[in-house]
Amino acid sequence: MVARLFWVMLVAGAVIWLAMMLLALHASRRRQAPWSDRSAARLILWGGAVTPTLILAALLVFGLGLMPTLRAPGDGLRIEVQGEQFWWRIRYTLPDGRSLTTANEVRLPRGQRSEFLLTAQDVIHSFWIPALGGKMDMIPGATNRLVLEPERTGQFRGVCAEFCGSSHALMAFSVEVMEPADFDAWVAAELAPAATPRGEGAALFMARGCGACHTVRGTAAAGRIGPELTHLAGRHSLGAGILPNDAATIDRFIREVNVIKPGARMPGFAMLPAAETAAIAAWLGSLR
Amino acid sequence: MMLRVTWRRVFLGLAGLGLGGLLFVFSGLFNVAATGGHWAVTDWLLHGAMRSSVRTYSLLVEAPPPLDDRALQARGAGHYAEGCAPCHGAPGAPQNPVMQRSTPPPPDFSRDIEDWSPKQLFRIVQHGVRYTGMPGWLAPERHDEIWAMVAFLRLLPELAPEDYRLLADGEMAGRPQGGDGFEAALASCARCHGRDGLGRDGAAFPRLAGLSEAALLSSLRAFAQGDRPGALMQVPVQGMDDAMLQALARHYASQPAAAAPGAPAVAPAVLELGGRIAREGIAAAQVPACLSCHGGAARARNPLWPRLDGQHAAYLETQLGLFRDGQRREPVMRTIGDRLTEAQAKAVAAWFAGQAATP
Repeated sequence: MVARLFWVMLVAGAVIWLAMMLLALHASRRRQAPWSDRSAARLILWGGAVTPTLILAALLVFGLGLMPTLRAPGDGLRIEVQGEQFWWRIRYTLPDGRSLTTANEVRLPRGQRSEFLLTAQDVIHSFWIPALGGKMDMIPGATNRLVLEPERTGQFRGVCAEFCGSSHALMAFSVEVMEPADFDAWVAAELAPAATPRGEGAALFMARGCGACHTVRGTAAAGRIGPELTHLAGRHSLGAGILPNDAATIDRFIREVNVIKPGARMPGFAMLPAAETAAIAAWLGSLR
Repeated sequence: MMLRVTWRRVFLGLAGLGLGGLLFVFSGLFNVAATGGHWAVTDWLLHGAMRSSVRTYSLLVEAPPPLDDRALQARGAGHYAEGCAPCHGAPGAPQNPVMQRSTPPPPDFSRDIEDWSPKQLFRIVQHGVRYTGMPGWLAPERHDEIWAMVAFLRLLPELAPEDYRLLADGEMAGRPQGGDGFEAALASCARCHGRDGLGRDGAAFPRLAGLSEAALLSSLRAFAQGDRPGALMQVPVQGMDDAMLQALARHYASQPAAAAPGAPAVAPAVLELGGRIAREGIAAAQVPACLSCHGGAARARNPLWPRLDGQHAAYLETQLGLFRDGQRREPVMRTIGDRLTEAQAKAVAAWFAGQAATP
């Protein structure tokens, strides 16, 4: 649809440009007596006002005619995305009404229109998946709509496209477009509680207070300040699209988040013994 | 004959004076002995300079809190007896005669204190006075402690000896102090916190009874190692070894918690706000619920976290202020303190103070 708009506008623009060039060439070659006031006024009226207005109006009508289709509601999947310094809080509402909270990763079923409701927690962010569509601002206190219909499967990258603070450049997310059947399987897995709710790492996660800000479903951790971590290890990236997702990196992130992402709202936990953060990271790294 | 003044002669004259001065100092003929005191003119000049300096710099001092607060006076009294009375004396406790032989001799406060305004006293207590023996405050960033000392100093000249001992030593007044060993260390704690860990004089001192051994020990170590600034606690714990700190923590952890001191007089809406912050946090400001770490279930998982219910509101509010200002640097509470406004800190402190401290 957007492609059709683009091609029509491009061809129309090229035709107008060519016509103007030919007229200009013709005018420069003309050797005749000057125009009378009357005929000059007529030329300006028709050539300078009426004709361009008609052409532009025709193109505008064509463009606006596409709008209802482009802004039509989605096919049922609704995804609320809230930008926060410097990550993405993501909540799916499935066509059957169930909902699912995750963070920093968007998965979409191919060939379906998914509707995004975009807002921000603190400052203005902008939601942009260059491979799938245009950017849309996320504004605190307001909700913007964006509908995307991905046509092929694959992994893409999304970014924050509005300067939002010292780690703006480190605020990205991964996008995966999946076949609808795969998407349904992923949703089912994601709705399940944490794979291994017990163990040393889980106990330390709770004992050191991580659960005050983070949720891991299936455990007592139910904080809502920071990103949800129930299936952290299943995500393609760590730290909002900036780091590989493995236990060693999770460990480093826990200890030095303030170094890795300046201005992030989470304090670094370098005061914990190295063995403790390693155990917590190993546990989080096992939550597929 | 007239000597013509030229630049060259002026320069040579000044250089000669400077060189002569250096030679005089180097010769050692200048007498730095404390005996005999200052000449009257030196004393007049130095003391005048000090008065002027204190007067000018005290203009920058913040407005004082209410100084006739008994809790504030009591907080300053214990530290005065420990750190100040040897030089400045106190009612019923004359100055140490050794210190009186210094130049200038420290003024005797048992009878009278020179006429200083609260802000001027704050300036002197915080920064000390150069060229005298007067030291600056051990933790100059702890304005709350310095105001406590100022509040006590304003009361001091009016105190009868027995009132002074009671204010400075609490239940240990009149009992022998000093020495080493656990009993002496506990006596030093008990002067302010009581042997039962319930403190005295209203909200003067935080309640220790009912806190976990781990939480108490972590605070004692932080004071002993200088990680947590605070002259009132750093002075008594300095020199104690870790085994002693552990023994003290064990003692107070074993004391039964008493009934809550009760919330200070605040509006019900404020208490409700405090309760909401404690239970749910403030999502918009990214403040997690206090009880997610300080609640009973969480403390069972990690005894390092102090219980807050039944603690004095004034103490909790001060600590939140110290976190907010970055004077206490524990990263998590530093972050949270930064996100709470003063009004929110007051509300949540009041709510915790009103909670029954059940063991």
